[in-house]
Amino acid sequence: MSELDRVIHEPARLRLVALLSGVKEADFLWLLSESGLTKGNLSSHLAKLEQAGYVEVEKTFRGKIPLTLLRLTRSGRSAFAGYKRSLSALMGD
Amino acid sequence: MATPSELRDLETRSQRYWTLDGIPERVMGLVWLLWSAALIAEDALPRSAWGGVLTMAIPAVLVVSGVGANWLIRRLKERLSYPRTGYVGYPEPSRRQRLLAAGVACLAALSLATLILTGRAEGMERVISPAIGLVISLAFLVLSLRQRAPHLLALAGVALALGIGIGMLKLGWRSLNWLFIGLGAASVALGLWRLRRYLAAHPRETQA
Repeated sequence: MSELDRVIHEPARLRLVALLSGVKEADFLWLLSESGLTKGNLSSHLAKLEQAGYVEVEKTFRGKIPLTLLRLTRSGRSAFAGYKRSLSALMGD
Repeated sequence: MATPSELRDLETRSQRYWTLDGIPERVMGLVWLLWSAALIAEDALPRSAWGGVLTMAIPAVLVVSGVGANWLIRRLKERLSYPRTGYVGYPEPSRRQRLLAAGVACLAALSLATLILTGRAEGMERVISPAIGLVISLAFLVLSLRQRAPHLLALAGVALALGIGIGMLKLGWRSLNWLFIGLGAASVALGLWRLRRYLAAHPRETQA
């Protein structure tokens, strides 16, 4: 268990990282609808992931509507790949 | 603790999201209907100068409709889907994937050209409809498995059934027109049904 990345291992953050790993970028609304988290929870977990350097947040506009774009950083992708390897090893795959 | 299978499911959510609103199926269906209309028009026109122009224009129609379909899907998603369930930017295909796709397309074109130039294309009109139906059906099957999208299995079934059914009617090269009309209509109908369900399930809200 000690080999698993603690930042990613938290269930809600793991969900977010896994969702973001399949895309180049996504907005806050997509993550909200796919993760099933509340807006507050989502913001808080994203802030932790951003703090760890795993997620990059870009505040922009689509027309006049504010748009928050999120993407996994290179280190976020590598941490997730490492997490999956550790998980597979733990599960004996 | 999440299992690797649950993680895989989350990682492929974005792929399923692409067809969640039925827009790609609807636009693809329209493209197929456009192709069949172009082929029917070419067939119906007398062998005059205009007929020749249309024959030469068909490859351009195919290429432009492919590019136009992509543009239309993105515009419709921007209007209908992104404001409701969010925007997703998909990764660009890698250099290897691009080369592979180009290689397969060149190989298919070369094989067809060789068959026609060497006179071995005779009798091909009898099998073209089941063959194309089978290829499209396999493509939908692979997509359905990769994206875990069972609704694409319906299109795989329709493509195979239409290919075989129309092939049995012995319509010659015209069977391709009917295959694309049938596939286009089925795809538009499936897309419209999914779009209606999507719009009902996701009323428009303002962006967070």
